[in-house]
Amino acid sequence: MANNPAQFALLSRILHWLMAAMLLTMLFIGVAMVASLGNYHRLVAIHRPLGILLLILAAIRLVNRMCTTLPPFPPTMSPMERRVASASERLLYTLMFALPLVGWGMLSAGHYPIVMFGPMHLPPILPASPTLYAVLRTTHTLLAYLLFLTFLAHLSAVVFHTLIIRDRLLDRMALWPTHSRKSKIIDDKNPLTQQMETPPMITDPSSGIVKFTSPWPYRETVERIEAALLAKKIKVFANIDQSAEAAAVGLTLRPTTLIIFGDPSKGTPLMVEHPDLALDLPLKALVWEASPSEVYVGLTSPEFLQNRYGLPSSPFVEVVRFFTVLTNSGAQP
Amino acid sequence: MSSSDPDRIPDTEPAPLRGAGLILRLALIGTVVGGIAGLFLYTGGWFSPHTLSPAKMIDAFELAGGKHPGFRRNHAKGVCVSGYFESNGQGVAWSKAMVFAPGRVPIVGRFALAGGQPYQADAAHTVRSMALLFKLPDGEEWRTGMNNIPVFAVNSAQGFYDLLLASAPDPATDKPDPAKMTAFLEKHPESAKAMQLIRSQPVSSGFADSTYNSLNAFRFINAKGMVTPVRWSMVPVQPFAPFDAASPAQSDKNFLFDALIAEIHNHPLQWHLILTIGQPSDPTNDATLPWPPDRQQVDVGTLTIDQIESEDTSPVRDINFDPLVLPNGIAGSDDPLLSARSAAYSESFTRREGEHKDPSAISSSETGK
Repeated sequence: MANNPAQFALLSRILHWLMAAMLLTMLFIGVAMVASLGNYHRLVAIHRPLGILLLILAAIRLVNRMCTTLPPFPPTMSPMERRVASASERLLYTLMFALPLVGWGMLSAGHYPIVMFGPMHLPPILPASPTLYAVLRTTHTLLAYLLFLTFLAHLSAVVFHTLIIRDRLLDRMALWPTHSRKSKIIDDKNPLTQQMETPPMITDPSSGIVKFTSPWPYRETVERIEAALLAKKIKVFANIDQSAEAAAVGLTLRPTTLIIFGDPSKGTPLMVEHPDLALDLPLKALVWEASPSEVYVGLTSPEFLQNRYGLPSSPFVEVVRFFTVLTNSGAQP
Repeated sequence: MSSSDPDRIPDTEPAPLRGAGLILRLALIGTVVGGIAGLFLYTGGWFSPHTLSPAKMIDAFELAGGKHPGFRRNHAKGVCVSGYFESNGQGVAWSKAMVFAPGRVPIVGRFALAGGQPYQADAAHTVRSMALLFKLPDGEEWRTGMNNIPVFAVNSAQGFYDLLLASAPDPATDKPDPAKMTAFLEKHPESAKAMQLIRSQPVSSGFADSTYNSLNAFRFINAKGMVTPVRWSMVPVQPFAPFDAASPAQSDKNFLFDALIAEIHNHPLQWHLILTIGQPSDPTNDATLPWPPDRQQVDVGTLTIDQIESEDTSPVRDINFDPLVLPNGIAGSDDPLLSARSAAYSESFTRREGEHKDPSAISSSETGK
């Protein structure tokens, strides 16, 4: 199964569902065991090794998270929603580490052997201390309730997007075949598929501007353009945050950044030939957020530059191709 | 999310939901999320306040013995000891636990009197206990709490709870209500029989010449995987002397502990660890029933206790003698009291560890004497 840029990486999706099932099981075991006399021991015997297994999986997941690129947020998510989603992700990662570590530390402080299975057990990670035990025991419970509430909020948000907004948010994490992928093969009348296949590029010859729809949020668009330029060894001379400049004088401008970039080894010969071309070099890319769901990238069109300076050919077509590939990379189904 | 920008790419979003469709879907979300939250609370016992929980159990101990923050909710008055266990290798036939391989393992332990009152006066007929923690060479532990009675007075958590409520002091008289105890014994005939057996056994003069019994049955697993039901006892090397009801020492409220301290200072005390090998027909799930007297008994080693220390300074104060902290080779049986003890001990431990600690009745000046 190849990775789809609109989805999380396969390993991320497997870890997500595996850990979701295990964490939910753990929360139920935990809340059941503290209330149970008859099954207490049986539940504790599962709770302890399962907690350590979750700690190991959390470590694998964190490394995987740092090594993979995330699919873009769907345009249906507002900047506020995106901030909340990112914050809740950080909270969930923190809790995935904190809960087993606090549990382990609490048993250490309580002078308990940390039995896994058979004769296997773990060493204590904290000194035996009544006060420490009491604090960690309470912390363990509070963090577990916090994890359960965060899980409920996460579940509510995803189900809301899936059933009410119907933006296929869940497809990003799907381990099952999703509608959009199936439709690519069997249903090319599907407007969604057709939409996906249209390059997100609009050219208006009269204005001399080529405009792309970005598949990413504003900030991410700026970061991705800069990263892609650097990867191609193209120099980024400046990044001018126009909205910040506006704010500095007490005015409001929609989020707008001007990126000035170029390759002196290619631009210099052109400027030697056409001195006035230096007015438009280095090249410029403009990123702006029309609304939280609409981020655009604008370039001066190659034809416009060719006409303006009377160039025999247009060396800038390459740049448009570069931006077409880049903005398409996040939008393919 | 809509926009008036004419350049906007045609929207991929379906038309917004309206009316009944929207309400139905919102209701579905509410049901799913609310259902999971409800199931969570149900699992945690929020909707069944009358079900017996570890917290209710410990509340009952606090009702029967009074609330004494910082102390164990049962067997509150005690003293800490240490020494070693020397295995003779006989136990290997029944259990692969390392503690039974020939050789010596260190132990820490605690002698105590049953009941939740940490400053109660010593009395001959108060149940005496010996709790031990065997430190196995590979880091495993074997914890056990034993009593000087032949069988336990109850065979279930509910029975123990009922007994605690029946023996709790009546607020009017400040004494247990005999009518409640009569009602308890009628409701729990197994306890009436067990108490009769307990009373029929002669009481020894002190902690040192008492036999301490595991009461619950356990399963011993040997290297070949053979599983055997076992109960065990610590049988004193010190000769048995019956309790002398006329002894003037009884006027001291710590006379049992003082005698123990004096004896350990005089010479180490020793007990034989005796396994009683159960037959498949022997009840393992009812601690009120004795096993037939002709069951095979195996002496697997000798416990030596040579140090005694007040709870005020000993780390043993903060050890939970959970009977299900067991090494590989010993496992719990189907006795429902084991899981209940484990759960209730944990609740008691969690409560006392977070509380201010008052000095023990058996202070360092007592144990140093």
